[in-house]
Amino acid sequence: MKKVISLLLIGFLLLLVPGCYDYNDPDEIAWVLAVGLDKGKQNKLTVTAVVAVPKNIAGGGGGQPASGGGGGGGFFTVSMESPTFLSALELLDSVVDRRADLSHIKWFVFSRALAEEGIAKYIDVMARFHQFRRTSHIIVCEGRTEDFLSKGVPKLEDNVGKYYELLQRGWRYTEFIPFDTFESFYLKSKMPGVAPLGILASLNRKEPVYTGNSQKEKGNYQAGKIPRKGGGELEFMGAAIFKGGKMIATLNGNQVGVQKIFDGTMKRTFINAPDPKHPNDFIIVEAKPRQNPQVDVQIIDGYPHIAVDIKMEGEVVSIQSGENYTTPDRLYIIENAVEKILYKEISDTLAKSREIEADFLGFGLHAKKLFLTWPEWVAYNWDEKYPEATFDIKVDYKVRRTGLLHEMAPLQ
Amino acid sequence: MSRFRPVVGASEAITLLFIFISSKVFLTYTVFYYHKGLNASWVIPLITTIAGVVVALLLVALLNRYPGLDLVEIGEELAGPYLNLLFAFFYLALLLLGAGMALRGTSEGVVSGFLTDTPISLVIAFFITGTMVVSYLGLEAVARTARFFVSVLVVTALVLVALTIPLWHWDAFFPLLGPGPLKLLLGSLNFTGDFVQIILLGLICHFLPAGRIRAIGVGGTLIAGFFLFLFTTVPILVYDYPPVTELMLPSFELARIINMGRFGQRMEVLFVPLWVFGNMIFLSISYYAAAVVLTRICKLRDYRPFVLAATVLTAVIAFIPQNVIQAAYWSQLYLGRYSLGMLVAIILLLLLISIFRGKGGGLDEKSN
Amino acid sequence: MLKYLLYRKPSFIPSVFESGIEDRMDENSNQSGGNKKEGSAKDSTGFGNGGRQDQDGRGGGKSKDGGVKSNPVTEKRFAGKIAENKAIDDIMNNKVRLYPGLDNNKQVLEKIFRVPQNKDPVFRPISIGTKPPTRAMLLYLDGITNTQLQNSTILQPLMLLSELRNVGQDGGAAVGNQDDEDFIERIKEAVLPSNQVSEAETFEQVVNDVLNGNTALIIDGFDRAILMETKGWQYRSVGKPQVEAVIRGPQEGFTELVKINTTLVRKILHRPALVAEYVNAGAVGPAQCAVMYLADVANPDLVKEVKKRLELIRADYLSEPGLVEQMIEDSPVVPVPQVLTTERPDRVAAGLIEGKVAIFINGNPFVMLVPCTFFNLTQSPEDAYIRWPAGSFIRIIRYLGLFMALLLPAHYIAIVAYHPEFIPTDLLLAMTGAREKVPFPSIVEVLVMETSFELIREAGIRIPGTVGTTLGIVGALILGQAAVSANIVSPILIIVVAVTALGSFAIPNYSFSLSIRLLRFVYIMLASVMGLMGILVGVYIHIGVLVSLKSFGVPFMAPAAPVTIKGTDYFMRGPVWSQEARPDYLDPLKTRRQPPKSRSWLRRGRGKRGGGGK
Repeated sequence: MKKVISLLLIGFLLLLVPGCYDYNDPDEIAWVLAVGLDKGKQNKLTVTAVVAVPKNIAGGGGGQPASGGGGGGGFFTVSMESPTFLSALELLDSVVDRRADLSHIKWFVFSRALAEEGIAKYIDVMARFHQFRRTSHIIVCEGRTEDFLSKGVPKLEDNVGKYYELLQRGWRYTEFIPFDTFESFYLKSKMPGVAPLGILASLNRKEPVYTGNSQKEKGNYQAGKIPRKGGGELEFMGAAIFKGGKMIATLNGNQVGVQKIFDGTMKRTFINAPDPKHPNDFIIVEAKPRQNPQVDVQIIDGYPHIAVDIKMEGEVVSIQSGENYTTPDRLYIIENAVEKILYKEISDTLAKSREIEADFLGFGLHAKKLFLTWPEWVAYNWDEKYPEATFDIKVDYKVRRTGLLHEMAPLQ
Repeated sequence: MSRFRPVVGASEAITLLFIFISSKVFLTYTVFYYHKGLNASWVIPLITTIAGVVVALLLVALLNRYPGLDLVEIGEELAGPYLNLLFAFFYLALLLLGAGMALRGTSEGVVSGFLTDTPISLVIAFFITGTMVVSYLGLEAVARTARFFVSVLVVTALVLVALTIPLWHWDAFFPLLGPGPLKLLLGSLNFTGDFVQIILLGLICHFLPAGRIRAIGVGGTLIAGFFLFLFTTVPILVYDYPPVTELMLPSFELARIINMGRFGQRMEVLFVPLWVFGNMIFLSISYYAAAVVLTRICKLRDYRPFVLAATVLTAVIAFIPQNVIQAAYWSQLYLGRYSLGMLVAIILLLLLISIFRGKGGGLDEKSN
Repeated sequence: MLKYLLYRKPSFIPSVFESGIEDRMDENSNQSGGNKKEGSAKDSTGFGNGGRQDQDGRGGGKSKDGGVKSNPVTEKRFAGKIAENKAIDDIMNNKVRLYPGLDNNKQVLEKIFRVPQNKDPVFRPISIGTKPPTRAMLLYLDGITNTQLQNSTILQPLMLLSELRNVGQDGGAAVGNQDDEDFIERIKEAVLPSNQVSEAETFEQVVNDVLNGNTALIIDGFDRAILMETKGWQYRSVGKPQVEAVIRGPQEGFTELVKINTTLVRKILHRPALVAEYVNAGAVGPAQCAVMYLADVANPDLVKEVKKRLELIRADYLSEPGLVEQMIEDSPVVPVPQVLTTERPDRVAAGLIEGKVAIFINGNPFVMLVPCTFFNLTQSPEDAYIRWPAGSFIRIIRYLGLFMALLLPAHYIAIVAYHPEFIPTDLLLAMTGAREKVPFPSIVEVLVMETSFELIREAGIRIPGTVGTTLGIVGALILGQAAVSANIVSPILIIVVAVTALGSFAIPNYSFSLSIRLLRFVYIMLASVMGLMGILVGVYIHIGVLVSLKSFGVPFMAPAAPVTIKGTDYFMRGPVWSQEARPDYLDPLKTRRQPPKSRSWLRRGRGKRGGGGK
């Protein structure tokens, strides 16, 4: 018996001799960290690949100290004209000496022009081809993707992959960046009753966005329209709404915040509420969802009636007017102010979703519960009925703590 | 002293049985549920589990009437050598077809997910070598290997499920009834064959601790049902109904989707042991069981010459389908849909004959 | 060859526990295991014509095993010598009795000891001081006897004091058998104050005893000899264990003398049931083995099996447990030790209490404990001596070390070369950057570094004295540093190799660690061919072989696979008071180690302490 086993094992080892089909050392591979798709200039598509330069990132192999280059990203981009997405990556192998590997891609960037034309035919490959990941992100950029990717040099990181990841991770601490992986984008675009969205991004704009210094809501901005000077080259804010594989609208920061509340991905945000007693001053609070939003869908006369109940809580961050609101009997003033502004934001966003006829807030997922079987649900045709929906919005905000100040003494 | 200690203990036998039945969750099988059950497909494994338990009880009832004999010998005793030959070929076909399709499916999964440039023949050769060695070492080796790996498998499977919890959408369950109750019920009858591997119980019964066969059969079936349920339900929760039907390997996709911040991504490699060991144990059991059937047909005393034969047959069968789609559809068509019904028919026939002949007909005297 | 590939009659590995029914449907279970094993070995190796008779017959010197033919030229040239050797062997083997005449005996013994050439045997003629004086002769080997003891307990009483004790040859009736007996009895009882005295009737007994350092007294006119204990050879005193050092626990290690070693165990286990049986293993230079067990705990079948295997060894010379181990283990092909070798008396004692059997080999400070399971090999006595949470923690660390030592380099290859998507991007780019100037593929790097590390390790053991310990550190440090700065290997690989080495040092059993080091290279090859898939297939076969392995009838992976009743001390270390049962897989005569409430003082009103064996 032992002889048989050893014979088998020896035969087995002999089998190995012609092996190593998939053996690739990492320094023989070109790591692609992002790809961008745009309308072509000489062919149907312009595909831009961001290829990492590891020796810059690692601070040089061997003797040199790992100093890093004070940012710079350590990457180069290649833009190619090609009829399809993957054929461009095939072309990449003729341009770059190492074999391109796509498994570490962080972003799929579509230019706004291409997105508005429709990206349905490009997302199939992302779900099917084994090197692509459903955990990467869909980004829609203003302008051309080749510029977006080649000029998007990080200030802080040596590794452009880390830059991409961290930039997107802003969804955790600001309401302006939607959380949507390719996975959720893909699912939402396949499911009836919810519309997918991608992150809206842009290169830093050189000329001023607005004229005059009148007061504007901070969340009214979106990528490409953030008035700023300095900082990194890329900016993320707002979202692009898709329907039927085509981008149909953009959302500004506040609307993304509302979308995130209903999506359950809102972690925290700051809210500037106008002080009811001092019109020029703001009460600034931090808000966190207290519980999942309650959405109650009813179908009245064949059309949906949606009652939403948002419950949030938080901490007072600043009361600009110095008015002492932080006593038990006056706290309601803050709460009401915040509720009012929240209500406004939500109803604006709902109006927007009706206006663009896309249910990006996912009310359809709640409406599904009203139906017993799948064919009935499909037959109801939610996407057609949704624009006629009526809403009933309830907002509840509770101040839980007031920061490090207990009660405020007025300025003398 | 311990002379009469059974070879395969109860826990080992349950492990064998449930891995043998449920290792198919790592392949394409469960995707077919979604075509019939839509978003309510999680009900299907529950219904088929009930069917599986019923069949297990029937089988045990038959086996218990003839202690010391296995299913093929009982068939010979009751139905005569010629009819029984047909039955035995049916068992053989079940085992070999199952093993062949699983081998092809696993290898295709490996090739499309991990080793894209490696020829599938090399992958199959690897799997075959590993599984054949262990099944050649005997039932004890297979059972103990399975028992040794089962904790790893179960823990990894549960970790895989647990890591996807942040991605679950509970609304995926609605509309609650999916295609409608009647369609759901009828649809799930298409998948009863997932429990046809219960036949293993009939082939290894005399190595099991006497008197605990029923517990082993029911226990193994129920645990297998649990895992089938888990790996049918979780993809629905994660991928929602229409997209979930698109997947080729649902459990693989579950692992690919895990996302725990920047560090914890692209972790499917961690779960490779789950798929590889699960399917290798399945294959080892198949070879051994097929060899046992062949041994009984040829009335030999040792299974070993047939392990190689079973392996070669399996490899041949694995290469018959032209492509991975065909392999998946065949295993659903030929194994998933009707096989359990045929097995039930055979068991019922044997039971009837045995009742007509009266109990104890061939208990004491050796038939051959 | 093909024959093996297709079908072979299942060979039956003897086992005390009848399991694996299917393997032996046609075997008679009443046949003795040992014989079967011998039989199957004959079939497979082709040494069948050897057998034991032939081998014994030629044991004299030049020819080796039965099947190996000796050189015909040599046989012809030294025909006389060979014939002479054969004659002597016949005397020994046929158990020729002593002659009544002293001169005859002397002649034969001189021949046996090759006396004119051989200067060590001493034939000391004396006359016993009876009336009339009786001629006698003492036979011993110079150097391994205690001279002082001989003088005071043999020569002095025989030559000077026997008269006082009233020993007379013409005491009573006529010269006859009765009187012979009487005389020898009287000498044994009354004259010789030696502490161990026995009688021998054959040349073989005399010779063997003399070889063991005893003194033989042969009296003229009697066909029997008296053997007296006078062992007095040089030996190392009991010292610290060299290999299995612990921080807590006794610091005593075995030494080379079997008697002292058994004593060291007896010192720990004061029990009358502690039995030490002596068995000689081997034919030409038989090794004196002691088989030690607790008669009221160890399974008698197990004891019988151990003794049978030892007795049935046919070999020239087995001086080391390592050699005996290879002779008695179940599956010599599988690269994993199947007996536990230890140099710690406390560990042997602990094993004996569990129901295991210890095999002592004379001349060696290592003792074998059988049966041995995988979990025994990964345990250190220290786990038990520290408190149980720490013990469990240490065991987890050790399993981690085991995993690292076996699979870390293979995983490194697999992940770097086959599954780089698993590596976090930052790390991947850092690794790629560090590799930019390395001219070799990762697999070559790993093989170079692993091989040189094994080299350092081997050299570190061989280099004498204090240099050895420094060499390891210096070699590893300088080699690694130089290799990195010469861009031959990437820095991360040095970490991998170092962690692997640490892992292999954490394995408490030396021969287990060796086999892990060997298998590591197999896994590296597998990983380089198929990545993780190759490793997993390798692991699958590995586990499949291990679980079908048996050590003296006990499944090697017990109690994990097959599942037997588990104590709290197999994977992790449970609290001492919860370890109530002896390992089930050993099937001991007493299963309970301590009562369920072993800490009886917890109960008020109970003066008596619990504990004990029952």
